[in-house]
Amino acid sequence: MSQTGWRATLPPLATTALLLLLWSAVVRLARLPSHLLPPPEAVLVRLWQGLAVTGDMVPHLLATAASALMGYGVGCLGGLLLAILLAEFRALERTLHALLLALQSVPKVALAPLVLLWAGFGPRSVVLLVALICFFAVFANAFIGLQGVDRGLRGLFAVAQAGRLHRLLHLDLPAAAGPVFAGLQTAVGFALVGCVVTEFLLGTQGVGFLIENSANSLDAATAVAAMVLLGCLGAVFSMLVRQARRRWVFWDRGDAMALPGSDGA
Amino acid sequence: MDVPGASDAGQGLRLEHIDLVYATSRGPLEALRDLSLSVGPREFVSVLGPSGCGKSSLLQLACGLLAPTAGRVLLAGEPVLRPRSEVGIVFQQPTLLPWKTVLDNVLVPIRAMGLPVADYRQRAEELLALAGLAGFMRHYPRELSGGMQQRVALARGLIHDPGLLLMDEPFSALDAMTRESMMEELQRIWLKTRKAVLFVTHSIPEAVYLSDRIVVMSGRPGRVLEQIDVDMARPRTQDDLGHPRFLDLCRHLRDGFRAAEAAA
Repeated sequence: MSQTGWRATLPPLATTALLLLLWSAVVRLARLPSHLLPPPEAVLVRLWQGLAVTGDMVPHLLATAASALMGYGVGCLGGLLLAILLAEFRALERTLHALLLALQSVPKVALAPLVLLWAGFGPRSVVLLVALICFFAVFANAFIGLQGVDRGLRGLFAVAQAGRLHRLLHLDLPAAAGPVFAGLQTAVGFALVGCVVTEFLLGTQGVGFLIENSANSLDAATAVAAMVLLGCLGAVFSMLVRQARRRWVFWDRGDAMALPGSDGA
Repeated sequence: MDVPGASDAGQGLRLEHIDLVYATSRGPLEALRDLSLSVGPREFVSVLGPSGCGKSSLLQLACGLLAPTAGRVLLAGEPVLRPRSEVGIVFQQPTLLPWKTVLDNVLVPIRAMGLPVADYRQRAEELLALAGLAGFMRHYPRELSGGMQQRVALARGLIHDPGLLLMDEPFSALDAMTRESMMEELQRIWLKTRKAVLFVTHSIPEAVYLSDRIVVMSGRPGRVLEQIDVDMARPRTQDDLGHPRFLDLCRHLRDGFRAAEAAA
């Protein structure tokens, strides 16, 4: 790692260490009972145990990761496709746009109980809710991006009598890539929120279930450990999206990106 | 369909008795009224007018992106009824694609027209060399200055050997120094390629320096107030900017505008 690399990573590492120390000190000095807030060591031990010794957390982690990934993929793809359709067909835009905007302002997690009714009490519900949330996040951004394509350039392609597909691939989509990736980045955090909320309700498996279940049985160490897992999951997803952006939108160095991590899930 | 690469200069562009009325939310807006003008095969014609006089609409009419409410647009003798690829366009902003290299940006119209890129690569390189950008073919647009980017846009406008080049205030986004060198540059390239050019501007010296003929437009609704032939030898140089004939023409045009403004 280069020197500047260390300069970038060292401060956040130091801050994290400091916060952990502070946490540990507060728990000890205030003599907090461990079912309210366990000391960080207890959480680390529980993580080690759950992942490497008994492995009881692994299936939950995998279940959440799989649902999030699948819902994210389906939702983002759907959102992008609909944005393209609406940007291409004015009639479709006129009929659907107002409705979509109205739906967008509904907090999608509020649909979780309904989604359970529709898709049944299984992982399918988690995927469906995550997909719904990601769909709207990406649709809104992609649509704005596609609308913002320079009119002169569109004219240039029209004068050259470029086909619709050619224009889409060589002008519209690359031009909208910045906003699309902003949507993809936001959707990462949303996907995890959707997962956890549905898993709370489902009560069968997943990291959300783990949090809820262990909190109910006053096992705060497990609950906090599960939250750490969620954070890591979010960070990894987020990093992958950022890597993809850096690779495919190499010309746009502007960092108008959402914060990494899981939006307070 | 014509093969754009093979287009001879044809008979240039003719606009005949054009009316253009936009429908807006506040009712109809008359942009152009009974406007007629022509650009000969090897002629450089500037359209000079105050902002909002429908100069840009004129260019959209000329390439078929816009249909007139009344009147006819003829390109090489044929009526223009839909977007036509025998024209090249240069905008106010370079509007290059930031994800493509300079060379690939110049080739954008070729790819969009579905023409074989291999046949035009050499021409693209020649045009870029002509525009003084031989060393920048593999660069990305953001690595270039505004003036250089606009020269790439000019090469892009010429790549398919169009019979007519439309330029919409192409230097107005540049600083004064760059503008003057771009004027020289454009004249040099034009003398080499000899396209019919319809050049929209609101800069009087720019119009006089570059044009064979200047079409002066009124404010909205845009009409032709007068047409002036610029009878100065080419190539014109920076020194000609102080030539008595040059200053005369500029003064004449400026007075014309003032009179039109007073009448409006």
